[in-house]
Amino acid sequence: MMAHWPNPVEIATPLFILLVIAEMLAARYLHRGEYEARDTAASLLMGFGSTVLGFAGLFLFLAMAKFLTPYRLMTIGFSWAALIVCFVLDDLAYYAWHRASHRVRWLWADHVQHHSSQHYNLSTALRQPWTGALTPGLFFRAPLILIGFPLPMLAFVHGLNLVYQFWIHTEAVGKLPRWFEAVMNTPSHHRVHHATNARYLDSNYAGVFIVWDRWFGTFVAEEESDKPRYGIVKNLATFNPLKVMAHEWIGIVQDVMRAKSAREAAAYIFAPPGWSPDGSRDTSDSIKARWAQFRAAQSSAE
Amino acid sequence: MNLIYFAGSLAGIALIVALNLALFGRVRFRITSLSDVAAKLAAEVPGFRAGDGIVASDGRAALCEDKTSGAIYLVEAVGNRLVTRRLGRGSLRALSGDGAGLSLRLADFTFAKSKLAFADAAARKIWEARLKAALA
Repeated sequence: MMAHWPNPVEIATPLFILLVIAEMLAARYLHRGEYEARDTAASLLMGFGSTVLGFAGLFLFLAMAKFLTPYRLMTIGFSWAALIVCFVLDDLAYYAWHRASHRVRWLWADHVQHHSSQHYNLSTALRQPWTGALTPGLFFRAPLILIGFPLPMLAFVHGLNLVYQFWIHTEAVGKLPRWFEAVMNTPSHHRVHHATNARYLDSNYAGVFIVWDRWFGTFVAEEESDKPRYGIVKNLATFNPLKVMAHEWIGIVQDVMRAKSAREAAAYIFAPPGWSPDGSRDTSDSIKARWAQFRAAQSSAE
Repeated sequence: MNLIYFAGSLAGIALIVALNLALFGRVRFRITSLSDVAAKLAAEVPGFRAGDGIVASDGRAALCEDKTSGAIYLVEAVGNRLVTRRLGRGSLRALSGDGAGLSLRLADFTFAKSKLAFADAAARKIWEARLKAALA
């Protein structure tokens, strides 16, 4: 059955390569975007490692599916309507996973790698983590199995979702027509998601449809006056893919080993990234609060 | 993943990185003045106001004080970008000075050992003392 469904990512890979080359040329000759060789190498090697090690995650997903399938509500066969509903619901599951991945440090440890470049170009799209099998991320797609969508269809729509997300990692495309920006995730919306400017932190989690962010209150528009600065709150001083992959995991282990109680240890794993018992570290919430305070003080001084 | 796909992927990566180098060269950020550092920190730290600072002779690193909090920040060039760290208690594993050079090893393992060469030993001694006070 699985053999009848194409793998969208595999089909799109040559296109990814051509688009990276085209964007690189546009960056060089039209000054639209920026590339740095070691950053590009790190991103591409992260993508390569993710493909090699992705089989562990796939194995766990199939094991979960095998366990859950007897409990499904119905058996959905192929139809175009089912495929479209499956695609939309998979994107909603992606939104939920993605939002949790920014708010729970355990999940963040396997997502931070994607945000760790200070550049924003198509190679950044390929900077993917290797350790998905160490997180509970796959459970976000469990409801789709329980509804009764067939596994090959789930794999197919998830692949389509990932292919869509590739092209939005670019500075070469400005804002698109209003109707498109209103419904779909776009380069502009996703630049905001990758930005560390206080105003943009923890926003625009959408995969394909930006409407999830608009409905769930996490949408922030890109502003001309506040150009996105990319990366993470504490940017990495390395291009070594192994260090990029491991740094947050090592941070968690070090913090848990230093924790003074089980409650504190649990918070180091489940609280938002940057949480600390004495509040001495920065979370995105504390940065936003300080920024709001600073802006209020600035405007009252004016 | 079969061997051809594996080898093809690695060859593709090498090709793209080579093209990147051919088009842009190996770009390295060089800190030319404290205003580079202050601009970066002001963008990253809400309320930051640049105080005293010093740029290493090779332009690869700098130290800068935040007048608002009194904190000292290390700013390092990484590729063609800057990376910053607040140097507070627990952030440094080792700090040592020798002549005009100051060596810092951060607890953050993504940083290599930083060696800041200043214009003279007097400047190094001042900043070493300030850092020791900040870390105490």
